[in-house]
Amino acid sequence: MSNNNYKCDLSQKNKFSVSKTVISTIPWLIVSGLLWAGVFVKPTVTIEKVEKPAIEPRDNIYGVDVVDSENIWLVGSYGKILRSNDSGSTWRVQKTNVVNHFQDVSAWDNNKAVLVGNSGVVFITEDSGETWREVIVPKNDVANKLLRVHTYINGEAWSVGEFGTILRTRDYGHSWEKMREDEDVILNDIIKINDSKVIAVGEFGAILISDNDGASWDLVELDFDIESSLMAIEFKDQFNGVAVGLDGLIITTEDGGTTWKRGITSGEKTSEHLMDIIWDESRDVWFSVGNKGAWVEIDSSLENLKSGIFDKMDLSWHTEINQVDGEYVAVGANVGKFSPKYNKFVELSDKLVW
Amino acid sequence: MEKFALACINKRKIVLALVCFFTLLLSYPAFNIDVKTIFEDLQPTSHKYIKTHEEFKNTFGGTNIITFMVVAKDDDIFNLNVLEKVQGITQGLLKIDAINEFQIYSLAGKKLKEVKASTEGIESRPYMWPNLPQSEKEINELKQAILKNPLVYGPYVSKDLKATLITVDFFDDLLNYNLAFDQAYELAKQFEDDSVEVSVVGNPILYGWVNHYLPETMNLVLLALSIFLVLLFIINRTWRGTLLPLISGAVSAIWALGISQLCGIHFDPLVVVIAMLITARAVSHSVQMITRFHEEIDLLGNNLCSKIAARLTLKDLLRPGLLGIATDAGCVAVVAISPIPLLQKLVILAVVWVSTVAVSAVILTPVLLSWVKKPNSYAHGLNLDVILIRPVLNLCVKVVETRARYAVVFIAVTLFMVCGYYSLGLKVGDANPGSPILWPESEYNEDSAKINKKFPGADRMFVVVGGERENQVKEVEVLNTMLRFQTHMEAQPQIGGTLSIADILPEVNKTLREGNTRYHELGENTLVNGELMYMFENAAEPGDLDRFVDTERRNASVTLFFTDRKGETIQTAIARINQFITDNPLVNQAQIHLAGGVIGVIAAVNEVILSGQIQSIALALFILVIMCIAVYRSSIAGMFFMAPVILSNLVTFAFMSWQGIGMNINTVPVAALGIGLGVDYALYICDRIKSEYEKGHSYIESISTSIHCAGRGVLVTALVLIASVCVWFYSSLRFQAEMGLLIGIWLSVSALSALFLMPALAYIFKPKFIFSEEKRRSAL
Repeated sequence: MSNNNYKCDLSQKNKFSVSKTVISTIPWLIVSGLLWAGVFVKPTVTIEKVEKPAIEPRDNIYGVDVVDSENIWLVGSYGKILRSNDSGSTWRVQKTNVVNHFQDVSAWDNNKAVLVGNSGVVFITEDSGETWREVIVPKNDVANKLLRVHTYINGEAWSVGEFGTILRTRDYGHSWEKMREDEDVILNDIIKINDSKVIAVGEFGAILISDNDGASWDLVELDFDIESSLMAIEFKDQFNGVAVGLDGLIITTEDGGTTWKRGITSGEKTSEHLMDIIWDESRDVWFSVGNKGAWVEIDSSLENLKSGIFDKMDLSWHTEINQVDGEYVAVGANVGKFSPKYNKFVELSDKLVW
Repeated sequence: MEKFALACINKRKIVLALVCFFTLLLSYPAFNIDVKTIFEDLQPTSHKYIKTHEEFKNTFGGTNIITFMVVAKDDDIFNLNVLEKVQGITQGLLKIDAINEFQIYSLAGKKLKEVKASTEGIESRPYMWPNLPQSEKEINELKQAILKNPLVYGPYVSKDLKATLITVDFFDDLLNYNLAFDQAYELAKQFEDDSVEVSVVGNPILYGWVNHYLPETMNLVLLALSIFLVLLFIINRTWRGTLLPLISGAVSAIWALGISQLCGIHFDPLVVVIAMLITARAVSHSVQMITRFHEEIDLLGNNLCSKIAARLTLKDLLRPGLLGIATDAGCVAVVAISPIPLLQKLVILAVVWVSTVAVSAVILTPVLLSWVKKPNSYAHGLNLDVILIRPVLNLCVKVVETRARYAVVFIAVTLFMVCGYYSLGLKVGDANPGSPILWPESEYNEDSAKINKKFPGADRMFVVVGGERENQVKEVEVLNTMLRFQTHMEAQPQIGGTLSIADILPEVNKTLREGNTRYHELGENTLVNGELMYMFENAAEPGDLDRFVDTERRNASVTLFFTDRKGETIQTAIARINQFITDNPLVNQAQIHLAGGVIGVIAAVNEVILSGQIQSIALALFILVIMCIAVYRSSIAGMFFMAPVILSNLVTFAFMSWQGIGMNINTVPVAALGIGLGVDYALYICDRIKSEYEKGHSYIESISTSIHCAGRGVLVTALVLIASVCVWFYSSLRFQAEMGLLIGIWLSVSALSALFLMPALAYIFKPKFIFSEEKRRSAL
């Protein structure tokens, strides 16, 4: 220990040496610096930036409308609105101030469109969707979900939904009137086939016809039983139409909806729910989509039926379909284009469904 | 010091008897120490994630889940042969010890169910429990039923229909990793054949593998020991030079393990490398003693008693020896500020172990040497001293004498800066996918990669939403928030998917609406959601919803499936969760609590390590400086000895960052020990320079003597230890191989800096605590 005592004296002797003081404080500075760092410096982590795709994996896209070969509108869950100006290659998100599920969209032209959704929300746009404005529509006290909307010339549009709701506008969606008394039945689709005739379909196989532009409605009596709901209806002209529904239900009419026939004579039927149907003039066929990636094709004679699934590995459900340039855009649990020519389904966004 | 040395040598019989007595006493517990790994020991108990994990692990998913994947080699799983195997494995699970039979999820189990609408609402039935489908038609129905259910198709049956998962959870407190490992593999092998491939992963399997390699680990320890002894014998050329270090190492190992066993601390096979490292300290001190003893006895001549030489040795080396040990112990003890039990236990083991070196090497070696006569001849003729050791030491002296010393300092400074820069890239957490404990091509990591390719991810994290009021998780806003949260999290590519009650209710709702997908949505209000939950549970069995919500509907889980455990992945996920919480003020109503499951626990561990890393380095350096100041009465001494420590740490960190070795729970203790490790060699060298200079020798003479004496000890131990550490490269455990490599680097850098850098620095700066003029004058 004598050794150390000696050193003490030494350091005292030199205690006025500035440079020595500086040097001997350096280790303390380092240590206190480290201590300070240990206590106060919280390491920051560089986070990988995660880009969100326009169509996110969990989006359910319920409605689609093809304005022309370039312009497509999609609406879906949690207030999602998407617009493409390049046939679906890229999408841009449009916003409203609500997060209701939107069920359907329909456009009068490239600028003017209307969308409907849960709780009876209706939004219109006049500027290609840059701004969407909510309009108040007549509601009931029970259930107000609006399921489909279709636009017609001169600013007319029809929408249907829960509790037997049928709504009509004639001023591009600015004002809506209730076209029918409330009833505890869900109406799933509606179509106007000429100046005065409107047909709606819904739960329990209900078919409602109005021959006076909605002033009064008649329930069509069918000469067969239907347990399943009708989900969609389409006409290729004033007389020939097809309605599809749950459990692969397909019914046809050749007289403008007055009488209906069940079943197609030949072809492999599907038991999947069918959710939408369109008439494809260019291929002269009816085309329908539904659950588990199923599609059904019926020829114009309404006699031959073909069915299949878009992609064996992708069993996503679809609620609507529309044509664009000889292909079909199907929306639902995913969004994709089906090419009937190549029998190939291409998703419009990488998407994982489960 | 002189008195103490004298007392030790004079009462050498008593000292020896005491050491023998304690060694014998402790050898029984030492040889019976528990060798096992406990995953729960990793959990930093005070961390808020762990609190969440502990509260909910029994229902929302623990850390000890085993996942079996059955892959059909041709076609898909929908044929009787494959389904029979799935059933076989599921039933076989019940024979595995400690499994939680209520947490078996399999197509052939009771928990995965098909939900169907019926006239009375909805009904549910297990897919193939108790019976398998019999006909082609029934198999097809099963397939259709699975395809319809997004809770099964995706999470439990792969998208390509070629694989299915069977998962099982364990009761943590009953789980024995070895047993579970053996039983799980036995079960898998039993059903594997030409038609199916079975992969098995999970924590119990991973730690089972570690234990599986225990015999190999023991063999490697023995091999390392033999290499060590042979090299020591070749270099020292005497039996005493070989056996005494061995005795030192053995005595301290027995004491440390014995005391640990008595304290109820078990020995984790993953820390065997650390044990090697500490034993290396014992050996290193012992070799210093022997080298010095040889020198003293040479000076004293044949006639004089070995006792005097032993006393002189002890007297002179007691200070650097004890300082080295105290620094080692102090630096390791700093790790105990970490709230991770595994590290705390390890610290106790390491501190005890390092402290025993004071007795086993610093005291016992000279005491034993006092009985040894001066050797008349060497045990063999190969003199490495002449052909290897002396030339190297001469080089060291040459470097100090010439201007090359500036080159050494320049190299050190460059290395310091370059490595400092690279070590910033050091990752916290695992740096690669798969387990860093095993090699990438190991069966476990390959299985893990296969599962992550087919499924959303085998490793899970859950967060808990709610907690304020009963029935809170039935509220639309809460459920919507959960869904938005899930969407937000799934945007991260490494998160394969998420699952919560908010995914189930839309399914139930849709089912009640004839399967109309436009109703694939949550209920409109709390009442409807409550009904949907009731419907689901009513149709299922009580407890089927337990993994999603608690019985009071107060808390709900969101399970996130991760495809890897990389530190970056987990940090990004945690940061994104926090970002969501900040961006969504609505969440305040139902708080999101982080985080449980394997990933939640790892996240907590990584956070603790990250925030503790700077602290522990700072504290360890602090202790080093305090020790040096206490002993040398000079703060310059503190700074002086910091140089080799910081340098060896930076080089090692830079190497880790370059090789993609992450700073995780397994590497942290090694890093902490490294701080203490770097300084030992430098202490011996500088202390010898000091005492030579005080005897009146010139600067160069003092340095030269020190390098040839203390430096020889440094070089010999470094060579021998580096050689024996190399055997770890052949370990089947990647972790051990990497740690072996790191320790090798640590030893090399600290040996090199002690031999080249420290003398150069001492000569250039001539610090007063080494070259003390007054002391020298009084000695002269």
